[in-house]
Amino acid sequence: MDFSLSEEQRMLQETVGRFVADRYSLDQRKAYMAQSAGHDHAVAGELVDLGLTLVQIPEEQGGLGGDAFDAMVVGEALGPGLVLEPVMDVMTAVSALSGGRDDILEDGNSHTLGLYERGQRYSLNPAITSVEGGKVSGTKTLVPHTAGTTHALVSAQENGQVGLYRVALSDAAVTVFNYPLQDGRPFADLQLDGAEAEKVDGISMAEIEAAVARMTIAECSVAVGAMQAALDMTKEYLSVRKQFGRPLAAFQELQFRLVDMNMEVQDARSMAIWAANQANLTTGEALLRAASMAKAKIGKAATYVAEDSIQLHGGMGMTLDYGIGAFAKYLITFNLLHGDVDYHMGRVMRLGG
Amino acid sequence: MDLKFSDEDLAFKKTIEEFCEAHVAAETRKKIALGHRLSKQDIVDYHKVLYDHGYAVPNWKQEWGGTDWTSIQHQIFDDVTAAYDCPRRLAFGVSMVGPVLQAFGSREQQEKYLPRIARLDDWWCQGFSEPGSGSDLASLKTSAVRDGDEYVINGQKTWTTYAQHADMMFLLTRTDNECKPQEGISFMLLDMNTPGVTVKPIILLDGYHEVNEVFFDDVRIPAENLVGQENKGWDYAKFLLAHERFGIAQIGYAKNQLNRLRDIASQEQTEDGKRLVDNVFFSQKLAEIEMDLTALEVTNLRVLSDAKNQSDLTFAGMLKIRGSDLNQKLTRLIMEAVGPAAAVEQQDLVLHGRNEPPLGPDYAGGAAPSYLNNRKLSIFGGSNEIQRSIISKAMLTA
Repeated sequence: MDFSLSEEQRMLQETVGRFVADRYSLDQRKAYMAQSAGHDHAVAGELVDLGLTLVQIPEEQGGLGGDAFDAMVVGEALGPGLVLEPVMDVMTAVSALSGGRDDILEDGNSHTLGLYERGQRYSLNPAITSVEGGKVSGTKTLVPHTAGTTHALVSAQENGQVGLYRVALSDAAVTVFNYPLQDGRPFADLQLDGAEAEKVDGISMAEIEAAVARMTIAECSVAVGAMQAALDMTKEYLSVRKQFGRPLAAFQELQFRLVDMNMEVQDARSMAIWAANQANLTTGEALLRAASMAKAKIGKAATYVAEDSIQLHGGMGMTLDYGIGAFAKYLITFNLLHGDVDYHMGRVMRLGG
Repeated sequence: MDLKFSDEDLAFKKTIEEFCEAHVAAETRKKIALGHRLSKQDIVDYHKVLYDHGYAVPNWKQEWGGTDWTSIQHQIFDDVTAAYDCPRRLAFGVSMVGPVLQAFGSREQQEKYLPRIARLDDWWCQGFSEPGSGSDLASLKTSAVRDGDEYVINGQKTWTTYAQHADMMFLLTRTDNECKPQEGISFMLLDMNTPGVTVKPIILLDGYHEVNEVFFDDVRIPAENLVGQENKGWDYAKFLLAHERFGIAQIGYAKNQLNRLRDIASQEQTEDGKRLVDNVFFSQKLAEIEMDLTALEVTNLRVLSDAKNQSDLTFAGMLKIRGSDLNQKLTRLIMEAVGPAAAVEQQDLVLHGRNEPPLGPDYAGGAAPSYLNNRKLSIFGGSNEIQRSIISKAMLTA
């Protein structure tokens, strides 16, 4: 057994780490969020140029041929940047759902995903979106949307079967409602009023569920990276901030709290490693169950770290500008996407052991 | 032992219910129900309604417009107004500086300020915390130096709630450096329009401008704005904090939040088509929090019913810790109940009341901001860590 990273993985980690250090300080991130698109187009382009969206695409299709461990390495390194672009969604789910088509994979960030619907909570079953005669109608919510995106892959019912359809966002029958998430990431709702829908062959409900499971596992590593950064910031704050004539770090009550937070982060990291391994080895229900175990465990840890890192920062933790709040808001939002703790707990139990 | 409300209490409850129904602006109540933020005008209007009905300053002495309500009636008032989605009464004038002036202020100060506080002619803010003095309040550094008939104030306050709306501030200043920190602090009153006062906003996690930094640069205030004696301010501050503890557990607010949580969980459907309120995990959490709330409500009533308990620091700290914990859990559960729709930020709607159609159900937009905003409950007014220190000291030295 060997938990060490390969030479390629270390390089990947360094590359992403450097990108985050150079391009994603909290101040830079704030400036990107303030732009009209809610992120910076050039910086998004750099992410694509680094090849991150191609990590899990087979080499014969021009990708890097990586596995879920590689995705994990990238995710954890991206975490401290709270990157606004949906790198992991594209890297894992879009590539898994491309049906091997080069036109979906090229450009790296031309396609986004519309898999959820309003009022359906975490269900992937398209209840209100359907296709008739090559036209799709309905609404999709929580679609990762960046200004460079030209197409969406949306799930829909056609003749009682769930399929995936490619829709051009420039289609007059598509309306995009942009909004930020609580953590500032630019997302959108799509209203489809008979838009041209091109079916992606070979994708049914099972493939969609598996792709979302892989994406969820990858997103868990981003959360681990963000939790580690929140822990580091909190440790730093306790060492610097003084009350009653000594640093906060000298108070045993606060020392123990830091230790508890550290244990949550280490548990979460172990869970993310385990889940990535499962993603490499399993398919079907075993894969879904692994994703649920990871997301439930890490979602809980994320909430814990978000809340306690605010608390240990005291008033500073409540401010929008100080920084710890940005991590807390990401971690809270992480728990609200792709199934919360209860949803995944239910699936872990339902799918048995 | 008799845990029933008396007939007088029940009649009182009915009066307050009728008041809420008939006189509190529906628009304001709706904002509260949805977790949207109130404007300054909403708060002022509500206070005027309270004033017109004799409910603005019920905790004051009767000569200044107070009531003879019992502790239980105060609790009933808080419970009923919370249940009807009324705002919480602005505390700074009514619950903080008002009682201090009645206990320690000069007759001139009382006559000048108390009627204006009661009518909310002046909006007061609290100048206690400083950047280096949060939990360790006694280390505060903002100085006041006597110069003839004036004090000259220099320094900075922070976390000053609604300083941007305030006409007046009550503040703690350092007037003596040569003694124990607690013995060199004075309690003063300051007109926010005095030259040298600068207010700078601090935006909180939910995007809301609620608190501020306030800077003092050679601010000259009349010496008559000293409350009580010079260097006795710490005693007055402790008196104020003891007064503030009234209602600190926010039971009424918690009950109302629990009802809201049930409503939302009854409307939301999980992936299997069942109501969220019937989900095994969620219903367990609902049951648990109902038990927590019930126990805390009775603890609170035990404190209100017994003067001995009221002066017991272990109870005061417990109400603060348990109350903040409960209200934080409730807003977290509301956010979880709303689910993925709570991940969408709708600040225009929540903070500024803009009339765009909400994304998702109308209760979705306010859920995450309320959760984020409520993180402050375990930090301000003496953090829960500080409360635990106070309780353990009281227990171990008793």
